[in-house]
Amino acid sequence: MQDLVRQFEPRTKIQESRTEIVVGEVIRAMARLGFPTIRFHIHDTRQEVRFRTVGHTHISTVAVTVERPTRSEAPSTTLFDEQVRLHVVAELRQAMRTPSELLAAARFPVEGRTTSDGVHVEQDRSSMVASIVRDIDIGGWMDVPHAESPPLVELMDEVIAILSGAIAAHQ
Amino acid sequence: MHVHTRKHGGLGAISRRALDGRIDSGEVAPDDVFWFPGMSDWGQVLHHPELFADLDVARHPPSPLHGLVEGPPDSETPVVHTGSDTPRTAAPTVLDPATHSSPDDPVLASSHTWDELASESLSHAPLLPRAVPSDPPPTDDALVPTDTEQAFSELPSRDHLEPAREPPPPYAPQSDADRNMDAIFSALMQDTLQYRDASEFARSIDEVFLGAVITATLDAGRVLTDIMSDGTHHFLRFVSPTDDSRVLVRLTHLTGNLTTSRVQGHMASVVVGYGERMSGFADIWSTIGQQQSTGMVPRDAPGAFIVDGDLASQHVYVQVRLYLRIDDYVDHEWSINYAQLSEHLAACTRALRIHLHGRFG
Repeated sequence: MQDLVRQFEPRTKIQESRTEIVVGEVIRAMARLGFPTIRFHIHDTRQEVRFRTVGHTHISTVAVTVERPTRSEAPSTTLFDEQVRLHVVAELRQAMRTPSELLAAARFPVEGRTTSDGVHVEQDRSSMVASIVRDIDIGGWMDVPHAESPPLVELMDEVIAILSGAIAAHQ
Repeated sequence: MHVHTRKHGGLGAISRRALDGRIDSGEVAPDDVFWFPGMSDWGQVLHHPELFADLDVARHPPSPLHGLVEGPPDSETPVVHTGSDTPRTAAPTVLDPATHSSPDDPVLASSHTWDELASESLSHAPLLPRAVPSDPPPTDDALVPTDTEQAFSELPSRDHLEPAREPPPPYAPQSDADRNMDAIFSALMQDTLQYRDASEFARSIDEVFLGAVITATLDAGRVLTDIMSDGTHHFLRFVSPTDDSRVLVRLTHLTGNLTTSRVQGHMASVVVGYGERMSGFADIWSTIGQQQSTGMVPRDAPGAFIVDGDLASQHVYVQVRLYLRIDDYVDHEWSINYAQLSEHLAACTRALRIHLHGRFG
């Protein structure tokens, strides 16, 4: 326990933890929307959190990867410092219990397609996956406490509605 | 376009790029059939100039053309029936649909055998269809015909080809015995999926709890600045933007498998630390060092308060290890009692802050 303090890198400014701050706000936003966390994949450059849905018709899990865009992808150095990229992937797992369901799943074509609103949809056996990328500007709310109003609830709600709609349309 | 294969049945709407891959993998054979809007009937992949150019004939020797070819498939000189019953020796080649549009023409009248074809480069000029456009590759959109597809759509019906086969009907039990066996299998699958879900819940509940801790702490006005895991322990650090106080959490799931959790419930060891930047840090740091050197300071004992310091940021921390029942916060329907968790975390940080200020304030 005495080593707990030394588990963390020495950081003196909150701004050194932009990605982590976004990860936290994504988790809180998803909690507000009813999606508990079920898996964390933590890397130096990107962090992925997987969420489970409860009672959702078209989505079983949602994975959100938070990473910094590369400098070449950012419009300017200033924006690079304030931008974080979210990869959001929604998956529908279709439980198969009967021989006919198993047979039907085996006949699903394995093909990816991208819709006009930038959602990529893939279908593979018993699983359908829809993904989208969103760049967010965190410069405006980095230093401001958001105890009462999670800043990403609206964005995540919109993204999940888009992905859910894409999966429903391809079912 | 739509493709129907002898081996796999209908493939549904499919893009050119996807079809290229399936041709390359051998899933689509030369004598399989395709159709796209505008075509009056199905045509063989063999007769699509662009697609044929993609065929690796050496790796995919043609299976006998539907109703047209007799003899062993590896025969160098397959016998081909023309419109009449008179067989002649020939091998298939590609024809330009613009110049060979007669439905009676079997489009197999070259002096080349398949093996000869395989031994020649596909770029061999006489074998290449003249209708292959020199434009950029066709669009990915499966519903937009390429130039060649458009040309094909203008061809008369190819009645000599075998009609497109419909996919076989889905499986349906035919008798009570079938239905009984299906019901038994379904019950086994149901049990399997239930066990899978229960195991996933047992394995995931610490991460559900970890997310709940993050949410509850952010709701208290902090931001997450660090998140790590070493496979056994999860580590979190939060900072208050208003006063720079910090909260540390180390969470360890103690009952990570289904059997143990069913006996004991889901338990977690949770170390909570609270730190502030204190004046006189150097003196406090010295005191901490002296106390630790005596060996009298409790180390990692549940319920004991431990004081530590972060030399870089000059924060002084007080930490305590607790055992928490995760089941008190997360139920088996994945519902989380955030109000209770927030209250418990607030009580912990409050006690630690009081201790810190009482000793060093």
